[in-house]
Amino acid sequence: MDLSPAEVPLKMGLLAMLLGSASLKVGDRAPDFTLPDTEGKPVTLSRLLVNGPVIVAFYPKAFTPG
Amino acid sequence: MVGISTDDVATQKRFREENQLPFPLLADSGGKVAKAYGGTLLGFANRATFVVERDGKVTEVVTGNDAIDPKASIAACPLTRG
Repeated sequence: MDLSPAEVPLKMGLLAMLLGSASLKVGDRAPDFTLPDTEGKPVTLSRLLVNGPVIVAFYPKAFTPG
Repeated sequence: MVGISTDDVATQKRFREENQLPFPLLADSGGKVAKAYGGTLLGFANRATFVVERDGKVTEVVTGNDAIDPKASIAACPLTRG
């Protein structure tokens, strides 16, 4: 299968996702996002960054150990 | 610090209250943000912690089981240093 150069990063990204590896690396720009908090209030990363560095922690599912 | 999973708002709320978590939990239903950061597996966010500097650059990445305990990330975060 022929891949155009533009398709390569996309396919690599898909592969990384399937393998479960992290896609963002040190030095990358963190994509901005807005997500609802537990009160349904929207929280935006770029707004949090105004107050200083932010730790963004992802976990698979609530109420699961390890 | 913010915690993110693909759980919905109601589940996140229950999880936060039962564990008395002092930081916000955000609902990434659909996993769009998780995909852009640490990736997902079968629709669930991979366990991964990122320290994002004020300028938006990622300065620390902790993945897998090492990301369960946020101590390393908290230590790496300039706000808590010193």
